Amino acid sequence: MNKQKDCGRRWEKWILLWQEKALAPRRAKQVEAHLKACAACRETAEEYRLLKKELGAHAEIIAPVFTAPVNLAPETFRPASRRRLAGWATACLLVLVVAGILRVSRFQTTHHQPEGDWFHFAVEDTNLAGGDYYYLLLLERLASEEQTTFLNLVAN
Amino acid sequence: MDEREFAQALTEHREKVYRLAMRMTGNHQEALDITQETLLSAFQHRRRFRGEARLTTWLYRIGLNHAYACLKRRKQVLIPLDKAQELVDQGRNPAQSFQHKTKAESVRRMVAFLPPRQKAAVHLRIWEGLSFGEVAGVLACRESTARTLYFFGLRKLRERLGETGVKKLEAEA
Repeated sequence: MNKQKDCGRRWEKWILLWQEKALAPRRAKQVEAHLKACAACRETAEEYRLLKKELGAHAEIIAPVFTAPVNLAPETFRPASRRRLAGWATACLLVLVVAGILRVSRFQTTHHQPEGDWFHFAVEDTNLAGGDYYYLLLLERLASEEQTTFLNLVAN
Repeated sequence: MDEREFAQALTEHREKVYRLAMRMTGNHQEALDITQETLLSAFQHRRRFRGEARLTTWLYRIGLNHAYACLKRRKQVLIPLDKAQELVDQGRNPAQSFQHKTKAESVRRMVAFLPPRQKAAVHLRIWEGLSFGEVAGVLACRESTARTLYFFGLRKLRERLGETGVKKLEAEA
């Protein structure tokens, strides 16, 4: 009995691959010759045949019916890490935009837009406000020759 | 092949990818996620597909990598199969249907307990009908290794059934 088991162990792989027609012709002939002579290996071959038949018949996975088209939109191509990064970047941008809007609205409520000669109003307003930020903003709006005049006026 | 044709070709193979993912994970929802991720990855990297292998082989390989990643995330390889997965019963009476489902469930469970690479080799060979060369392509190994993985997988199943188990299984049918 043990001898038969050992025989089965030794030939098992070749028997299975012979059934799968995955052996070289010379090896296949050896297996066929052995099967003719060995009852234990014939039994092994039969067991493998039944096992594969049962697996094929009973353990198949039925895929669901896919009706919706696959979403292959470019925005879904980015990997999760990049999507997270993009999310953070969007959030930061949103915060900056909101902060900017708040700043402008505050600026507009405290400093109404001048009518008439905005240049002289700017000089007055800079003196009144005295804030560096507003001062720089005004400087940016002036042409280079006006900047010199403006700085002289403010200094005086 | 332009983008539209490639996307169409991908969608034609999603059932196959789903079946492999389901076999590997045993969970319907994860299998759906893996299928979607696989198709997206394939479309994103479509220029890497040089047409040397079949499109299905390439998709299986991507799907298998996603399935491995999924199993790694769970840190759990051996999992029970999803109860929701039902076989389609055609022309069976309730008693036959029950017996069939019970047996199918037990066979699927046995397969689910195989190591991942053996499970993949057995699945691709038996249910998808791939040649050993193609199985080797999917598993990124040599053909002889694919044959050995397949053999070890089936041997484990045979041992699990016991000496008379296979014949019993046949007799119950």
